[in-house]
Amino acid sequence: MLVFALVKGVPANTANVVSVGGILRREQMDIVMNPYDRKTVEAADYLKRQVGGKLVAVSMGPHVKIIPIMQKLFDAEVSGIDEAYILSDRKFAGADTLATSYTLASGVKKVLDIHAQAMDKLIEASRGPVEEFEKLSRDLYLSNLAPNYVYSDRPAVQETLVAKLREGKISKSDVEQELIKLREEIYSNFCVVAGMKASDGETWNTGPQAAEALSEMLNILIPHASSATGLEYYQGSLIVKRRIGQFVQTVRMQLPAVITINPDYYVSPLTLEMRREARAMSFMGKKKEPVVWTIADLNPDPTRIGLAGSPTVVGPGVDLGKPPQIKVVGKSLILTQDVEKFEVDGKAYGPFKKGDPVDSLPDQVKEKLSGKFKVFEYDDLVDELLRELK
Amino acid sequence: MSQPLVLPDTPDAASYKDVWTFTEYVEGELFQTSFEAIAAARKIASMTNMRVGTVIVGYKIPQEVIDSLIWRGADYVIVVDNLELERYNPLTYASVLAGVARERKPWAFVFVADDIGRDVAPRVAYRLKTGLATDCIDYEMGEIYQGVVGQTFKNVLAQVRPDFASRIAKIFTPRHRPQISSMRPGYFKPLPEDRSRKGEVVRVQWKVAEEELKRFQILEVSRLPDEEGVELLTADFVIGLGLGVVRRTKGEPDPKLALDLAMKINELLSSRLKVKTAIGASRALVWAEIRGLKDFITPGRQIGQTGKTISPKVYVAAGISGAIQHKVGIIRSKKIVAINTDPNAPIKDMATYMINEDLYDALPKLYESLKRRLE
Ligand SMILES: Cc1cc2nc3c(=O)[nH]c(=O)nc-3n(C[C@H](O)[C@H](O)[C@H](O)COP(=O)(O)OP(=O)(O)OC[C@H]3O[C@@H](n4cnc5c(N)ncnc54)[C@H](O)[C@@H]3O)c2cc1C
Repeated sequence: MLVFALVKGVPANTANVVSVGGILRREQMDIVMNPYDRKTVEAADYLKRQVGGKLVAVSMGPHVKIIPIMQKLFDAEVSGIDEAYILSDRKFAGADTLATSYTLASGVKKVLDIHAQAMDKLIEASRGPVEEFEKLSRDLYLSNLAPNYVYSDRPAVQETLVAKLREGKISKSDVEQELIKLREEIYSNFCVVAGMKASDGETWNTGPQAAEALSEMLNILIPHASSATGLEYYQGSLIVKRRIGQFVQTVRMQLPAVITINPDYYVSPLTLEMRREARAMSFMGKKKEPVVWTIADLNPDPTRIGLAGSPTVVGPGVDLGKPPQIKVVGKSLILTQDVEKFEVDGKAYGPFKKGDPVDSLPDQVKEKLSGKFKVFEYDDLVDELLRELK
Repeated sequence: MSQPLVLPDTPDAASYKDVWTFTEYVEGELFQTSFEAIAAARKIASMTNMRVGTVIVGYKIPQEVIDSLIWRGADYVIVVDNLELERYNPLTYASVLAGVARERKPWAFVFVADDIGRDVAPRVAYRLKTGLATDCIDYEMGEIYQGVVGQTFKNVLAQVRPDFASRIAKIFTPRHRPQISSMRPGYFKPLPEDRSRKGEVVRVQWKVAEEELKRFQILEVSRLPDEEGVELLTADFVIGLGLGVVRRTKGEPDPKLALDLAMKINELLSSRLKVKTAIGASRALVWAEIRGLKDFITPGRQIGQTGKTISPKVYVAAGISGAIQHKVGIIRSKKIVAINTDPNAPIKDMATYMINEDLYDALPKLYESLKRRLE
């Protein structure tokens, strides 16, 4: 089974809060993996180990920034990815969730298509001379496009289609039937795992919308479940647990399916038995080098990507209003009475109210107000709070 | 002029009117946040002179529930009642919601940004090929220039949401309808129940596609025990405790003592002033799982982006630095008192008051002062 992990690069400061006085420093735009996606990769890896197959990471974003993230994912000891595709093109930029999910789905579809095309070639070859079929099987195996089930040079995997054919245990047409089944399963038996949300704001939409986009592209209804805390593969479907308000919903989803992972998700251990079963459907291994796809590779509908494909427009940001002048207990000086407007050195000040802090006023102004202020104490604070509460 | 290469406008966009909400009715329970969505829709409707409709989906929905939606501000209720819609399924619900919206054309459609709204709204928006602004905290009318078509659009909905860069961002969906958004719970007060309000009930027949039930099959739904910390949502006085409780400047930290001090203040206020009080915490403190606090400072009591959004009259942040994820949960507090040993802790730029002392000293002093002033 192809298990996809949608991974997002986010500004480091949203993942790790580098804030100075509450204002985020955007110039510190180091891109790191969305913290929510760690669980995504773990969950996807768990599925892969359960079912067999390949863990394929797909990400949209500037490839210079995303490649290092993918490299780290390749190297991870547990739950490393097998392949990575980065969808990177200036024309993808500025996408809102509708355009993003469309683009990501296009990437997923292309990966599926590549596998199906490989299988088509193999089906074709299975009708021809056995040696050529063997050779193509081996080539596809080595390029990670055919699973152990077809061909393998691992001693642990016996009874591959090629071996059985060679030994006369099955006929050519049996092989063809098996391959046709494998080809069908590419589209009917995959799973996309995504983070529940991203730390930089785009909240929750990508998973469900990717399910829609893939449904549209593959012409099959693909269910999704957001925020899964539990995930198991069971007889060709997924058993998913998740929170719905005060309820826990347990569902059985048919593949293909899209799942987003809640940060509370924990991987349960796999039995040896499960691993053995999974091995036949596994692929040789990692490709290690992330592949970058641009618009020319994906050939998407230009009205569905980037800014052009985004129905939403983000207006200029607004500050939440002027922060109130802070009063510090035991330190701030506050007026003990109302003060009318007055002038110092030709500049107007006031009017002020009893309780207003004078800390930030220039010294000459404070002088003018002398005798009319005092230190802000606990009792003053409490008076103001009680006024608010009553 | 040839149409630029962009997502085509919603056909007949000008014919879309009214403001809708999606009412969440799950396992026989009406989610109270649905009333907040209606309040948000009323605000939008009052700016646009439109009516407020709400869609409720389920099976054997009691009349009392439907009436309550009208009493809380809906002008009409679209009821889709069907055995196969008894349980929440994102596939069936997305079809219903996209279906009724396609047919009846609402101008704006407000979901609640909770487990269900966030699950289903994206699918609905995708099917209708329109935008989805998540996590909105306010709505305004505005105008916006859209570069890809080189046009300015007037009288579109400004969907206001927190943004980490500039603190607030306005999201517009100028050319597509409905303008779909999800509303962050805690920002709109439900309207008071007015039993004299009248409204229309529209019942819609719906045939569920087999395929949807087959591909997403609900095996079991169980109710969790009542969540801790729900009192945070309605309290007028909240004390939030942070990791400061384990960093006492003089002497051994005693987190249990810090909690007791906070509780003492709350008890005083609730007994003398009948104020609703609550205690919450930063995520760092919740995750620290400190002995002595563990039973009380549970995930349900976390305040912030991944916890609860509170809207008290007074919030006291004791030993909380004020990370942005914490701040988004307290924006709605009217007055914020920061107790922090660090005069430059980021909480400062939201605080109205600062007590620049160890919380182990400050909380008792605050208590004593309250007692004096309440005498
Ligand atoms: C994706 C994501 C989501 C998150 N969601 C949330 C969320 O929902 N809610 C949330 O709160 N956090 C959230 N966080 C975590 C957040 O970034 C901070 O790490 C967290 O809020 C810090 O908690 P704190 O203020 O208690 O601890 P610290 O940052 O360690 O602050 C402790 C503060 O106490 C002060 N202090 C120390 N000793 C004393 C003393 N004796 N008396 C008084 N003051 C003292 C210190 O000066 C400091 O300011 C999230 C983070 C991420 C990455």
